[in-house]
Amino acid sequence: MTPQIRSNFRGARAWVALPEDQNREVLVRTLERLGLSVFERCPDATDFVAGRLDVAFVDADQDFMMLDADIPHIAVIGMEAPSRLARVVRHRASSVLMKPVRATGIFTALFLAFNEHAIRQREVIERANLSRRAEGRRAVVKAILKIMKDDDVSDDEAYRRMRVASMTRRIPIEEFAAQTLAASTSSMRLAGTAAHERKTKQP
Amino acid sequence: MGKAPVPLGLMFSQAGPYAAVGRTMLRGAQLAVSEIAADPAHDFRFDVHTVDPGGRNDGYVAGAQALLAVPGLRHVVGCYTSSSRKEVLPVFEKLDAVLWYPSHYEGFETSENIVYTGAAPNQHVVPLTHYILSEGGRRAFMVGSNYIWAWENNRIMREILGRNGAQVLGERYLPIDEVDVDEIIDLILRHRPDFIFSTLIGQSAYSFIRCLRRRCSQADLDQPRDLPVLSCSLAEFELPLIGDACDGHISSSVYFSSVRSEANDRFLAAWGQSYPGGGPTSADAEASYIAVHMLARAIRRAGSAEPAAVLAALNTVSFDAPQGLVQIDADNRHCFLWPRIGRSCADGTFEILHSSSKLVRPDPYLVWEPLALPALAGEKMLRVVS
Repeated sequence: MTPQIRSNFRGARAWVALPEDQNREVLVRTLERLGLSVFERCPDATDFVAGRLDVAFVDADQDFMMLDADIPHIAVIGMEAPSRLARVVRHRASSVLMKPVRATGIFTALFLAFNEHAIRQREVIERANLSRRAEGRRAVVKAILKIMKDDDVSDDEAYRRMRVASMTRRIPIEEFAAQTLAASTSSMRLAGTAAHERKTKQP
Repeated sequence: MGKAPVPLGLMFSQAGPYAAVGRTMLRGAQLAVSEIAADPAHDFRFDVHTVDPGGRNDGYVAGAQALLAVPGLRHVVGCYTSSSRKEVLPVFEKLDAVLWYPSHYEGFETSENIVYTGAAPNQHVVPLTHYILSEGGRRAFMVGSNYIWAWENNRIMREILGRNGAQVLGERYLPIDEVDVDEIIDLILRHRPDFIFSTLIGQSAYSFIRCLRRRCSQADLDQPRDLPVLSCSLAEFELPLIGDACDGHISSSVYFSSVRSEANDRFLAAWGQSYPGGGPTSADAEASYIAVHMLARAIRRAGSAEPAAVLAALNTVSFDAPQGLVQIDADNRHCFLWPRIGRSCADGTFEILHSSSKLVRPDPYLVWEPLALPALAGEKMLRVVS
């Protein structure tokens, strides 16, 4: 899947966690030119829960608090000291902006932050899918062995049957395998929906 | 004359690959300088210092440094290419001076130290794309010189076409100044697009148009009708350089020498008088002319040529320019302008096919551009699903 690249940030809400100075002034003015609105007060947990913020600028030179929110954040860096930079890495800033802040570079920082963040979010989902599959692998192998034994078929055929059955029920094959093993006291029914599953697994 | 002198730098390349346009831009700026000197409304005159960067980026940096070393010189009108502008910007930032940039460009920039008097993308490529869509153009072929002007304009046009149910059949780039265009024309003739969007510049553009016209005649095609060429840069002074094939090409510009207005009549008359045999006026010459006039008005309003005072006065000035009344958006320091679509004629002018009915606010980052054309939005709605 080719990811959509976002280049318009109109309407996005930014939190600018910088002291009142020239840097903040240039940054806020440029963000407003780009169609973003700047969050004036210090946000609290409810703002994050309610999704009232879309991007944050944090001051890498200060002891910034890590945001408890899954939004892109941009580290504004003045001191290129390893101790400061290490925190930028640990906090996984989605992009950076150098001080003194100039109008040039702000669009780039936003562009990278939003698109990089979107890529990371997709990767988190993909990773979750992969771990689920990895965890379910043992159950799948066991279920294949059981079908091979019970129905006297090859491993390919056993896998094919499981796949068809799990697709019919619209559940991942790993989950189907786990259910199958849990219900293994009765004989398996690969076609259609087993009576005892019908209650819980309506599509 | 008893007028107080205000130092002003002019920085246009009189040699190098785009010397032709540099010369017309310098003329436009100088014309405005003499008008300010003669205008009793201004109690100052510009004391002009010029440098010729010769079309080389290091020439621009050295030129900007030399100009800004002149005592009291805080404003420079100059640059044509985006790369030269980006190159000199740090010099202006460091010395807290202002660059007045008088050319259409691809946008995606604002600076605290630049005022832009040429067209931003929502004033050239966006209206051009809307025009061709409204004319029924659905299948585009893109050809351009391999640099930022072409890449970014093609991206913008491609996005608008895509959102409105049109498509790009192909996209090809040539090195700057490359004149061997046969292979691309073979490809275009095979694809037979509804139109060609050209971001070729200079010799490549002229060679492409000449060769396309010839190949179309050989194939019994009427090039302007069957394979029209659209661009955002083709200007009057280039038409004689193309020769016989110069007519029938579509250009999107805020100014054509054929604009009918009193201000343009005055501009054309003054131009003819100052530069007999100096060629026609063009959009970039007009943008340079606007830059000097706007600067003069801002200085008069501010009562000082100090950059901070001049920049603070920008939102109060307007100018009855040849293209129409223009003003500056103090927010992004680009100009409100009048987009037009013209078609080139054999006599070296453009016939104006369409003029914007209102002054268009500059939107250099295309933040406020609607995503789809209202008239075509229905088509697009059907494609959103998935």
